[in-house]
Amino acid sequence: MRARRIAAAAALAVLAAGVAPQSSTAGPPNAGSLRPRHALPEDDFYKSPVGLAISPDGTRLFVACEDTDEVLAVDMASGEIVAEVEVGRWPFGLAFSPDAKRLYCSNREGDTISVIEIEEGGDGEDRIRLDVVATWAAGDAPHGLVTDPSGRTLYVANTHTDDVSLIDTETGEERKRLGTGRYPFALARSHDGRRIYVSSVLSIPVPFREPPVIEITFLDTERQAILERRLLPSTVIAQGLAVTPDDRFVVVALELPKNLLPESQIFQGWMVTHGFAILETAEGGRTAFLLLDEPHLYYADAFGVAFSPDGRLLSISSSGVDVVSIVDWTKVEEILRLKDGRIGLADAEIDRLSRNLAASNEYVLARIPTANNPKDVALAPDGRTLWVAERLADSILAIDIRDRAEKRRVALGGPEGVTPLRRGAQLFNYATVSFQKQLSCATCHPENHLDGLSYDIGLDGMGRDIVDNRTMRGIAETAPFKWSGKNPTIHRQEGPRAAQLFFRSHGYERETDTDAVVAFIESLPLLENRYRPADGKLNEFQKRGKRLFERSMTNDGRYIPIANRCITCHPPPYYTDRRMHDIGSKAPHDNHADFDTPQLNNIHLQGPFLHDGRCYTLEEIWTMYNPDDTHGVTNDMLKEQLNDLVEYLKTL
Amino acid sequence: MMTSLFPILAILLAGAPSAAGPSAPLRWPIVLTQIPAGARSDRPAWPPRIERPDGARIIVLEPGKPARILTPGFGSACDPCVSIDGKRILFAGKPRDGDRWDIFEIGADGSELRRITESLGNCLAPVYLARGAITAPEFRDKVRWIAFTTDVRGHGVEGGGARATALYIRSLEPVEGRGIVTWPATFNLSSDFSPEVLGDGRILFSSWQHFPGHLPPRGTVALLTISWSGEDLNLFCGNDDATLVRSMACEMPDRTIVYVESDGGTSDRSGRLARVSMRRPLRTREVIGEGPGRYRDPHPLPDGRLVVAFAPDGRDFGIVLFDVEGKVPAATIHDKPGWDDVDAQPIAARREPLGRITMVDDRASKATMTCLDVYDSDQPEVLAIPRGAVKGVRFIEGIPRGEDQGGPSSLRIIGEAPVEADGSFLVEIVPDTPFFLQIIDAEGMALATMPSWMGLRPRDERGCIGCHEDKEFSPINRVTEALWKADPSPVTAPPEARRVVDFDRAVAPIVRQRCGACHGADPPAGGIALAMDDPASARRTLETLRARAVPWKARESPLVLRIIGRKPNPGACVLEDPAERRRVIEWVDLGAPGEAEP
Repeated sequence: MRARRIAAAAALAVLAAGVAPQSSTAGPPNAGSLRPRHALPEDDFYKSPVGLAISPDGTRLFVACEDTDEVLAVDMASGEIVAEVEVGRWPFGLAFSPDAKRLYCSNREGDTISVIEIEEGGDGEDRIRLDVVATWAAGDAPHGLVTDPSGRTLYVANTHTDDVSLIDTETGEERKRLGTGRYPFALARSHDGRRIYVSSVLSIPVPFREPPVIEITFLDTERQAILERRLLPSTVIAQGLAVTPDDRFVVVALELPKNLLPESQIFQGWMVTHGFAILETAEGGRTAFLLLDEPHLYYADAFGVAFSPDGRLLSISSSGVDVVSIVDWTKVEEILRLKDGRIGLADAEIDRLSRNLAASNEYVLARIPTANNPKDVALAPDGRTLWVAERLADSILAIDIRDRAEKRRVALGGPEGVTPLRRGAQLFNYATVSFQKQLSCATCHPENHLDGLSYDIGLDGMGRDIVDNRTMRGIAETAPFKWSGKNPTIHRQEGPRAAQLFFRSHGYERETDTDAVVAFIESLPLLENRYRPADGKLNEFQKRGKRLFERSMTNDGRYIPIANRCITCHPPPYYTDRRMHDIGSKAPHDNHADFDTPQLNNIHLQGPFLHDGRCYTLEEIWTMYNPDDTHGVTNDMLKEQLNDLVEYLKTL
Repeated sequence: MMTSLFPILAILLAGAPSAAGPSAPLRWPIVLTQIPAGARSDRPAWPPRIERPDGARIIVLEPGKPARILTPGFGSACDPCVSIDGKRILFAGKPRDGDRWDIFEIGADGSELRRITESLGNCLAPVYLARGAITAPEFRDKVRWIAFTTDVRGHGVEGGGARATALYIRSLEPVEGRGIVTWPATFNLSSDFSPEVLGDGRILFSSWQHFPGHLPPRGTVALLTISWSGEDLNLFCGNDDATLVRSMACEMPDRTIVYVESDGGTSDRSGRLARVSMRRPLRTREVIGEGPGRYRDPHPLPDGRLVVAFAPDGRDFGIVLFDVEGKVPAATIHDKPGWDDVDAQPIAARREPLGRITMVDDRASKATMTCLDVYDSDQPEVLAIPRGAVKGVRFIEGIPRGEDQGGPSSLRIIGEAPVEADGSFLVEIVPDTPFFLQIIDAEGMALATMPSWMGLRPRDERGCIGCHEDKEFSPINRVTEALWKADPSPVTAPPEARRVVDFDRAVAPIVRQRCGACHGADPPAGGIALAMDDPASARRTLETLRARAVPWKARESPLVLRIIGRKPNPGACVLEDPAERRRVIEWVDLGAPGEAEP
């Protein structure tokens, strides 16, 4: 990374000398990055602060900068950056050891944890020294992390493998993994240290066209075991969480989707609503939901959550609308009748509250504007200064939550200008393009990926043509777009079609803005594939799977016509022929039988499967939905062969 | 106004403002309408007539300059609206007395006057909308659009005595390949008026719903919103008090909506100033400017202050800056003796409202509508219906009366569709047609009647959460039974196939055929004579049947309960033919219409 930045600095110098910048060429599939492929030299220098941690002594704020792969230390009194250190690729979360000597940083792309030691007195009086003293292996795409109260075990959410790694902080070795919901995201520890709560982004498997269900996993830090899997009905994309000072409740920022309704309008929370869940922490406890939205204005993409030490004020960042909402917890207690750790409301009232757009008038005390894309929040020990990572503005903001006012903003030293790619990232994450700010692109594509939901998009008949959401990663070369193959370019898809069908607006005001969003989407590479052996050599299971993928004869010696072999319609490098095919998957609600052939790269991250998302596993595609061998010939395959085929597909 | 014998321009002339107190000087030129004293009609406002006086003119006030008449040569001109960029002004004008009102546009400097509407009835109250394109698939040909009211449909309001007005949309510039494009946005058989554009692109307007049979005698005037394409008609606020006329709404920078509430005592709809918060418009009404005196035409200034016309004595309007916090007029800006000065607004750029690519395609012949759960409602009448009782939904078209006839619209049934056990339905329906609906039970009897008109645009996809559900609640995320089936019931009968349900056509033949034997005899059975021998006896029969019907409520009508056998029935009054029963039920549910005169 550092080498790359030096090269980029040289390129900047060339740029200054009047030489036109060279666009980087599109790399091969599986370029191995989650971040956008940069187009201009400046793109390498954006910081993109995303994760925050405040030192236990309350003097410094540590900031994980995802685009420069570094952690900065900011003196909270002076606002000066007093140290920086390079960490692994695409850092996200930060967590202190209880003795405050170590700072752990999760690196989503490197699948590692950087262990940072902090030493007073670096290159100057008020500077400190940060050293990465170790880099530990985590699971796939580590996000949130926190230690147990002793500091002996570090818990890390592995987003892409649906589990939490328990890492021994003496040795850096993983001791245990605990399963979670799908795409575990953030962790929060109870104040008594006995519990760790894990949010998750995607729904657990639910029956086709049923509301999604998020799991919040309760971990017991003493037994290092799962205590409870709390299921939150009709929710998705749970992100930041925080525990009340009395440990009686956990609050989780999340989305309350409306994906099962026809997308005929936005008005009145018809497309998506945003809010937070309040979970009783008692085992088997109940959960209530409150919205951050209002009847005529929405607060898209709730992300970071923090309680004031007295538990009276709750702060939640809404990353899609550049706002931090300050919530009056006393009012929340009153409305939900919280008492002795219990929610006093009846189920029917809880259900109504989860849909009440006007209730926020009761408990939201203030909406504090921020710069672009506020992500993590952290409250200083003074109990009133809330720091906010303004990810796409390269700044951090201090808010006084009692005065409900901005206190100061610290620029982290990224480029002053906004490149087209950066502009595209900002617009992608900004709900202003939609009617009443109800959704941004990132609402349904968190981290440029997918929300795992199926939608009933407009203009093809209400209740008809249900389509599974698809990733934004690595799609530049896979035209046409949409399951119907209707949109020949990303420009069409993200410009007028998205405006008409999703945002209910006229789209981006300027054509250059649409171009910027398209450039941003096209720059999103495929993620490095964790199932492909490092040496590129497939193992025996994968090899057998490959032979099945390419086979021309069935087990019993029947010839498989070329048109009905897996590899015919799914040829490398993207494993799509980019054509429409009828594979016999037409459902009664479909208007057509032909569907776009999806790319298969990183297929293990793309579920649910088939055009309407009816399958949660790859195997179901052949065992449940291919009775007549119309989607390749698979019915003669033995269970072992299906296993091998899946193993191979995961490597693509 | 008593205080001002001369135009007060001092406040305009004072130059750049210092502190922005309630009465700080203005930094912007102001455009306003002057109406000659006495030209204003003092007729009461019910029905809310959408009319403008003769002899009015639009003037521009600029600091340090004499007032400039923007509309010299017009017989009358009013309703100015400043363009989004602050450079042009739309207005309604009558070139000569006796002409119709049309929309014109002129530069704020008085240059480039041009006519925008012609032969579209009386066009008034124009407002600029967002720029938008309508040509698929790229939607690049953005042009500026406007909304205005017109009586072009030429029918009378339901109460009679005035021509009904509707909101229309028109492009200011030609759309490639189509020229100037005009379409209707509302389908109210009473009147829609007083449009204003909101920052989110919607049109906020006043809707007078003088609905047959179900509303207070004078109807109600609520503030509704609609998309520029005519999609997404929704209640905004103010259907709770039927005695008030709410109009002249404007959006303030602090996300409040300020509007005028009139008790209907004046034809110009002036009254007190009220506001609601956008954060909760249905529950935050607050009166901010009360009498003595009357207000009209509030408009925001770019600095967040409010400018409004105010008549302290209720007669002579002048333009004042209004102190919203203090709830009092703070300073008079302009008041010319002998004239009512009204409708003042700053000539200044505003933020472009959010545009929108419409789903509407005027080549389409159908619209789709779904309701998630008809039992979801804030109306006691609907809440009282036990789950499972609703079996269908009936769509009823309103046919307006001629201009001077007034009276309730005549009705015809477009069609019916099943309602699923979970309360959902899905229909394909004819577009651009005013209709209301009734949810009906297994016998076809109305359980509730929607008390307002709506219409869908071609290819419109309309989702309803319930039947007049609480607008502060988002829908439940579920696939309804109707959406699972995804097979919309057609409500697409062409006009000639729609059933007019009046006495002569629906009920009289049944009476002749089935009732005459007993009730046509002398003496009639049960003492109830239902003779149909001549016009006079037919009229008496109609009145006799009406006396045993509760109009709009077949379920509560003794007549209906008898013919379906639900009431002790000594004779043989039960109609065996389900189709005949249906017709009698529909007749009562549609208000038991029929001419009293032969």
